[in-house]
Amino acid sequence: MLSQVVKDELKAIVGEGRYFDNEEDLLLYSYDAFIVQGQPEAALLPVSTEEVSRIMKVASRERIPVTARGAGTNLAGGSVPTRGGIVLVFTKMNRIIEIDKVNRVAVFQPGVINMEFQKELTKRGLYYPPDPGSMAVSTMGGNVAENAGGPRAVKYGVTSDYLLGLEVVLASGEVLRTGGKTLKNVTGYNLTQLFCGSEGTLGLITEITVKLIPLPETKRTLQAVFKNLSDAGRTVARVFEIGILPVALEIVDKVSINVIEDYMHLGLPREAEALLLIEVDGPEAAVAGESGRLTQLCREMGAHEVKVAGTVEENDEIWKARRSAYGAGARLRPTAIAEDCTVPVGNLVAMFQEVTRIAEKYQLLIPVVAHAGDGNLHPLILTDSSDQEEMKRVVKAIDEISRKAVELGGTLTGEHGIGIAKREILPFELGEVAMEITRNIKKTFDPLNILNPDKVVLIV
Amino acid sequence: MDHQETQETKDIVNRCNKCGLCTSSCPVYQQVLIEAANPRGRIQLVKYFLEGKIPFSKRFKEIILTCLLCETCVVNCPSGVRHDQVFNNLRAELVKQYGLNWKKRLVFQLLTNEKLLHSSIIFARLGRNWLIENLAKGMRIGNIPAGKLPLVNPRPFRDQFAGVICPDGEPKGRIFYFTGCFTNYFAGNVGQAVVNVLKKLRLEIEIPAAEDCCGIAAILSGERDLPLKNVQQNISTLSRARVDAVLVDCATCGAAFRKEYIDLLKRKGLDTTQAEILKGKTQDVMEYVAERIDELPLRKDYTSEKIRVTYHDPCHLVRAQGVSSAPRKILQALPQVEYVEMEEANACCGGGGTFQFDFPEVAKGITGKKIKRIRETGARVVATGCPGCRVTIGGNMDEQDRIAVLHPLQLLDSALTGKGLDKFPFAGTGRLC
Repeated sequence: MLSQVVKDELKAIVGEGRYFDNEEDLLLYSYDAFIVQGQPEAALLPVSTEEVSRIMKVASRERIPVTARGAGTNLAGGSVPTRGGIVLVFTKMNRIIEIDKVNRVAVFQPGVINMEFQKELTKRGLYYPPDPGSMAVSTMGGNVAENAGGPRAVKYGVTSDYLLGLEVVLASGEVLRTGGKTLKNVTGYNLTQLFCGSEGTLGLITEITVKLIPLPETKRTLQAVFKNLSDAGRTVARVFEIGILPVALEIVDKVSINVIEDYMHLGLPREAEALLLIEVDGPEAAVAGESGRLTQLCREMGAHEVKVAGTVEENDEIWKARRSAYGAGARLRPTAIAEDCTVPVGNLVAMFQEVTRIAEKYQLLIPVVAHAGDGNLHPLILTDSSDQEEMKRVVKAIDEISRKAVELGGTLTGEHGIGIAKREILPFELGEVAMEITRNIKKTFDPLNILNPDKVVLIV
Repeated sequence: MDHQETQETKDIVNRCNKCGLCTSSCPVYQQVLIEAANPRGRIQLVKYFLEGKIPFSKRFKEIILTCLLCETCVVNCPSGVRHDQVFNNLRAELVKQYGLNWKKRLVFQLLTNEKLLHSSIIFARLGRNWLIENLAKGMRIGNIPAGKLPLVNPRPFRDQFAGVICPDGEPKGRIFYFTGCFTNYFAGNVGQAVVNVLKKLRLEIEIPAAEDCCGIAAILSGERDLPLKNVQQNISTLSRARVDAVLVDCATCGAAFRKEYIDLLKRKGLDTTQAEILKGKTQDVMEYVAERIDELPLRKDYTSEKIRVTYHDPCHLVRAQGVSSAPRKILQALPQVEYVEMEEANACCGGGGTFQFDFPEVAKGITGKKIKRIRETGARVVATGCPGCRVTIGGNMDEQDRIAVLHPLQLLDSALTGKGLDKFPFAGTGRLC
C-alpha cells in the first residue's frame, strides 16, 4: 500500500490534474483490451522525461510496481497493473519533436498516436509503414514496447525494422540513450532492439527515433475468392515465386466470411473457403503490371472470382470485409479473444486446419483471419467470460493452438506480445536456456522487479 | 433506473470488449487524454456502477456528463455499443435523483410551454438586444462573448404567416415546414430563405400553428417527463396524412422526429404508431431540396468572382440522421460558390447543447480545432445545417476572420434571387444567421 506521504510526493511531481488516486479513475486504469484486470493505487500522467525519472526514483526507493500504459489497447494484458502500484500513462507525453526530411528520421515522444504520426508524414510525402490494427488509437510508445506489426509487414516489416534510437528511463530513474539518427550503427550491443518488444519490463520509453521512407506513389488491392483453402494457401506461396512482394496478403476464412456476411451483407460468397486479399504499391505502371499478373495467377490457382479495385473507393470497399472481421465477430458473443499464433508461411494451411479441428474439439466458434503473407493467424475466439465452463474450454483451446503453432515451426505470438496471456506457456517455446538468459536480462535492468512485474517472464 | 432501463443499460455495457477503438474518435478524449474521457472508460465505469462497485459519486457524475453526445464513438464501435443510450439513461437517473439545476429547469419549462415562451421572448427581445448592445458587451456565456450571441427576431418568424403559403406558380405538392424554436425566435432570415426556396419548388408550405419546441434539449439532459406533452402534441400535429413531407431546417429537431421521439415513447410504454409515421415523413430541408435541385432556376449571370464555401457536418445530421451528401450537393450546384471540403468536417464543433456552458475549458479546445480547420480552407462562408453549431462556431470566431456562418439554404436563396453575398454579415458581428 502506498502511504499518504509517498502519494503526496508523487502528486507533487506531476501536479493536480495529472495525478489520480480516487476510486473511479483508478478503476479506469485497471484494464486494457485483454480479459484480466488489476487496480492500481495511483495513476500518473507525466509529460517529460524528467518527471518519469523522478517518479522512478521514488518507485525504486519505495519498491512500488510501475506499469506503463499508452492507449490501453494491449491484447495480452501487458498494460494491466496486476500488482497495484503506479500506472504511468503516457498519453499526454505526445509531442512530435522533429520530422527530419534530410536524414529521413522522425523523433517523438511515446504518447504520439500512430495514425496522427502517419498523417503528419503523409503531408510531407513520407511514410512509416507499421500499421497495427489499433493504429487509429494506439501510441507509438506502446507500438515499440510491443514491437507492433500489421498487414503491411509482408513487404515493409514491423516496428523494430524502423527503430533507430530510444531514450529510456530505467528502474533506478537513470536515463539511458541508445542508437541515434544513423541507419547504420554497430557500436556496442544493440540495446535499442532489446527494448523493442520488452513490454515495459526493462525500462520506460520516453523518446523514440525511427527511420522513414518515401510515400509510395499509389496502391491497389485485389480480392480473390477460393472454394478451397489449400488453393488460397498455395497461391500465397506462388505470389513470391513469380517475383512479386505485395504490401499485404490476407486470408479471411469460411467462418469469418459467414460471420461478416451475417452482419454486413456485403454479398460475400458464403460457400467459399477463403477470401484472399492482395495489395501492391509503388509507381502506377508497376502497380498496374503486378495487379494484372496477380489476377492471372489467382485464376490459374483456382480462384473462381477475382476483383481488382479501380479506384480508392473500391480499394476501401475490398478492405471493408477484412476490417469488419473483428467487429462482426465481437457482436456475436460478449467476449472476443484475439489470438496471434504465427507459423512459417509454408505451414499456413496446416495451421488453419488445426484451428478448425481445435474449434470443433472444444465446441467453440473461432473465425480466423490471417496476415497470410507472413504466416500470422488471428483466430478470434468468441465466448462469454462469465460462463466458467466455457472459459475452461477456451483456455484449453488457446493452449492447444499455441502449442500447435510452435510444433509447426512457428511462434506463440506474432505481434500481440506475451503479457499475462502467454507467460505460462513461454518456456514451452523458449526452453530453459533462453528462459534463464531472459530472467537474467530482466534482473540486470530491473533488480527490484518493479517494472511491469509478472508480465512476460515471472521472477520468483 | 427502473428494471427495464437497468437491463437495457447492462446489455449494452456488456457488449463492450474494451478494444479501445472508440478512443481516438472522441473529441473530449482528444482534449483531455485521460481514460475518464474515453467512451470505453465511461462504459466501464457504468458497468462498475451497475455492479455496485461505485456509488453515484460526484466524480462519476462529472465523468458521465463530460460527453457531447456527438455519437462519434457509436459510429466507430466495432461491437455495436450504443454509448449514447447508456449515457442518456444515466443522465435521466441523475435528474431523477438530484433534479436539474435551476437554470436548466427554467429554460426547459419555458421551452415546454409555447405560450409562455412566445411572450417571454417578445419581452426578452427588447431587453436582450438593448442589454447586449449597450451593457453586456464584455461578458461571456461559456466561451461566447455576449455580443456574439444571436439577436432575437424583430417578430417571431411564425407570426408572419397564417395558413398556407402559396407557391410561385401551380402547386406541385404540399409540405409541413417545422421551423423549430431557433428559426422562429432568432434566425428569421434562415426561415425566410427556406420559404423562398420551397416556393420556387412550387410547394404549398404549411407552417403548423400548433407547433411546439421539439423538446430534445430537455430529453438529452435526462428530463424525460417535462417534454412529453410537447412530443405528443408535435406527433399529433405533424403526422397528419395530408402533406407529402415534414421538413425541418434544424439538425436537432430532425434527430428528435427520426430517433428520440420513438425511443422516448417506447420507454414510457406508449404507442409509437403515429411517431413512426412522423419519422417516415421527416426530412431535413436540405435532403428534400438536394433531390430537386435541378428544378430550381439558379441564376447563372454571376459576373463577380466565386466565393469559397466550406461545410461543417452537425452531429445530429451526419451521425443521428446519416445526412452528409445532400448539403454538399446543394453547395456544389451553386454558380457563385467554389466549394472546398475542410479536414475532419464531421468532427463535433464542441457545442453539444449545454456542454459548452457546463465545460467551457474542454469545449474551447474542441471548438478551436474546428475553427482552425475552417480557417485552413480559406473559405469566406462556413455553411451548416444546425443552429447550435452556427452559434458555437460563429460565437468563437474572430471578427477579423471575416467569415460568415450560414445555413446552406441561405446561399441557395441568394443564387435564386441574385442577392450578393456582401449582404450577409460576418461572424462576430452579433448577427449570425
